Amino acid sequence: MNNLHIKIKNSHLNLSIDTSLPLSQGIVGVFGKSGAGKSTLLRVLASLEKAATEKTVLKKHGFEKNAEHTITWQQQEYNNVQAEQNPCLLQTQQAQLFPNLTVLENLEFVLKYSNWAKQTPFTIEQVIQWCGIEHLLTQPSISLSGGEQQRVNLARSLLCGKPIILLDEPFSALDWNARTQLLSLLVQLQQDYKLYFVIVSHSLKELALCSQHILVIDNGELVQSGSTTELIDKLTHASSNSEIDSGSKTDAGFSNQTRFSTLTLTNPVALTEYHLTKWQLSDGDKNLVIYTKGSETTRSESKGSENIGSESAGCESKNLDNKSSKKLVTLDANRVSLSRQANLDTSMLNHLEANITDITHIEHLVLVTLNVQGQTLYAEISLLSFSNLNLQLGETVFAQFKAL
Amino acid sequence: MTDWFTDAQALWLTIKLACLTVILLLLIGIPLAWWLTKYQGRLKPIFEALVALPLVLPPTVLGFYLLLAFSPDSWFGQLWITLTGEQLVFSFSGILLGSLIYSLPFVVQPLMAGFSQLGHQYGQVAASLGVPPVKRFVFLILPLIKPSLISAATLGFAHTLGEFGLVLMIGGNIPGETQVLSIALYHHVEMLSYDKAHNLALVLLCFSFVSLTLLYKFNKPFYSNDKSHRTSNRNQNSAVD
Repeated sequence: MNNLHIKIKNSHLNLSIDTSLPLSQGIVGVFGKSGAGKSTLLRVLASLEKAATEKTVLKKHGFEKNAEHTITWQQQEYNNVQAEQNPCLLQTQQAQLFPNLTVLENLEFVLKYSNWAKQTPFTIEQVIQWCGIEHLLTQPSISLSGGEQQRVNLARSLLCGKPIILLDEPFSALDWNARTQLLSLLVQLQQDYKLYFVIVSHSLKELALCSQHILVIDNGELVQSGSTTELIDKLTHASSNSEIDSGSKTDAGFSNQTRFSTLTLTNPVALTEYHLTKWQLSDGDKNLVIYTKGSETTRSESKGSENIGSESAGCESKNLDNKSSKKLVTLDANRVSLSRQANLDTSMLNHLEANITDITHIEHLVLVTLNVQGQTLYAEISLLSFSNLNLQLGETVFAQFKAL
Repeated sequence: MTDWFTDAQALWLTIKLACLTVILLLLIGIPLAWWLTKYQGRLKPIFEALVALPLVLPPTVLGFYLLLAFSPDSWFGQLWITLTGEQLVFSFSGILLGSLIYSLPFVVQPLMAGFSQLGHQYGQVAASLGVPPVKRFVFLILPLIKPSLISAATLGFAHTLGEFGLVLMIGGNIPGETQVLSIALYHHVEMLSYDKAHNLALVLLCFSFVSLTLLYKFNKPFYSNDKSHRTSNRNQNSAVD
C-alpha cells in the first residue's frame, strides 16, 4: 500500500496531525478554511518547513520540546531530508516561475538540473500538450497571466519526476471550464502513470471532481477524514445538521458551502451543430440523458491534434487517450427545479425522473434529495413551492435543469 | 624613460589593478554576501559593520594600519615574505591586497542587496523541484541576481580606479610597480606640469563616466514585482462557475 503516513506535532507552526493519506486509492484532497493550516501541512510534507526552526524557538522562548515531523512513504522515513531529496513536490498557488527564463526554459531547467528528472515518465512534448501551453513556449514567463502561469507551473511540476505532487490551490486563477479539464487530467495521470497527488482547495466542487479521499483540517488539526462522497455529503449539509451537532468544530466555517450534486456521466455523443454533448446518466437506461455545453467528444475522437482551443478557455487540455467516455460533473442544488409532470414545453434541456429520498428544511428553503438510477441529486426549492407541490417522501417527480 | 612611457605604464597598472581587484572580489564577495544574507545570528551587525567599514574610514587611516600590518617587522609581513619571498609594502601585491579591502563594500553590498531582494522563494521552488543546492546557486540564483552582479563589478572597478590615499600610504610612488593613474596625476601637479596632469585627469574622468554609463545601460532588471496592471487587463476569464 502506497500510503503516506504523517505524524506532525509542532506548536510553533500550530500543527498537530497524525494520519495516513491513502495515496494509492486516488487523489487526496485537503479542505479547510483559510488559515486552517493546509498550506503549512503541505510545506512540512515537502520539507520546506523544518523541524529545525523549532530548535531556535526552543532556545528563545523555552517552549517544551514537542516538535515532531515523521513522514513515512514506502517504508522509508523522510523526517529531516532536504527538500530536493523529499519525494513530495510542492506546487504553490503563486506559480513562481523563474522570471529570468522563458516558458520553455522553465520546463527545460527542471529536466536538466533536477535529481529526479530521470524518472519522469513522459516527454516534455506530452506535458506541453496536456497542459495546453504550446502557444506560450517562447514567451518570457513574467509576461503570462495568472492562469497561464498556473498551467506552466503544473507542466513544470509534472516534468520534475517526483512521485508525489502536492498542489496548493493549483488552479485558482483559471476559469471553471479550464479547471475541470486540468482536474480530469490529474485523475488520468494518477491512473495511467502512478503519480500521486494531494490537492488543497477551499472549493468542495473542485475536490468532488478529482479526489477519492478528503482530509478536513481546522486550526492545525485533522477534524475529519474519509471518502469524498461521504464527506461532501456531510460538509454540504453541515448547516442543516447544525442543531444536532452544533458542538462539532467542523460546522464552523463550512456551512456556507453551496449544496451541489456530483453526477457521473457516460457514453457521450456530440451534437456539434448545437455545441452540446449528450451523455447517459447510467449505463443501463438509455433514456436517461443529460446535455452539457460544448461538443467535447469530437475533441477526444480527433485526438486533439488540430484543436488549439477556444479563446475563453485559453487552450483546452487534451485527454490522455480516447477512452474519456466518463465524466464527473457538479450541479448546484439551487439550479434544479422540480415538477410533478414531465414538462417538455420548456427550454430546460434536462429533465430526469427521480424519487424523493429525503426532505430537509434549511431556514426558508427546502433541500430535496432525489435518487436517479442510484445517483444522488439535490434540489433546493423555496418553502412556497414546496407547500404548493405538497411533496412527500418516496414520490416520483421530474427534476429539471439547463444544460450543464 | 620618457614621461609618456611612465604615464602609459601608470594607465596599464591601474587597469590591471582594477581588473584583478574586481575578479578576486567577486570570487570572495559572492560567497561572502550569500552567507551574510542567510546568516541570522547575533554577530550579524558586527560582520556587516566590518564589511562596510572601508566606506566610512578615511583611506589614510586604513592605509596606516595596513602599512603597519604589511611591514616586514609585523607577523603578517613576515609570513608573506616567507611565503612569497617578496615584501608587501611598496609592491604591487601590497596595493592589490589593500584595494581588495578598500573596495570590498562596493562589491559585497550590491550583492547582498540582490540576494536579500530575491528572497528564498525561487530557491525553495527549485529545491522542491529536486534541484540540488550547488546547481540552484549557479544556474538559478546567480542568473537571477545578474543586475546586482553587474553593479558590484562596475562599482568595484570604478572605485579601484580612483583609489589614492591608500595606495600612497602602502605603495608609495614607484613607476611600474605602484604608481597608478591618480598618483601619477598628483606627481605631475606637484611638478607643476599641468598639461600632463590634464591628460591623466581626462583619462580617469572618461573611464569612470563610461563604466557608469555602461552600468546603467545594461543594468535593467528583467523581473518586477508589480505586473498587476498586465494581468488585470488581459485574460480575465469570466467565471462560468
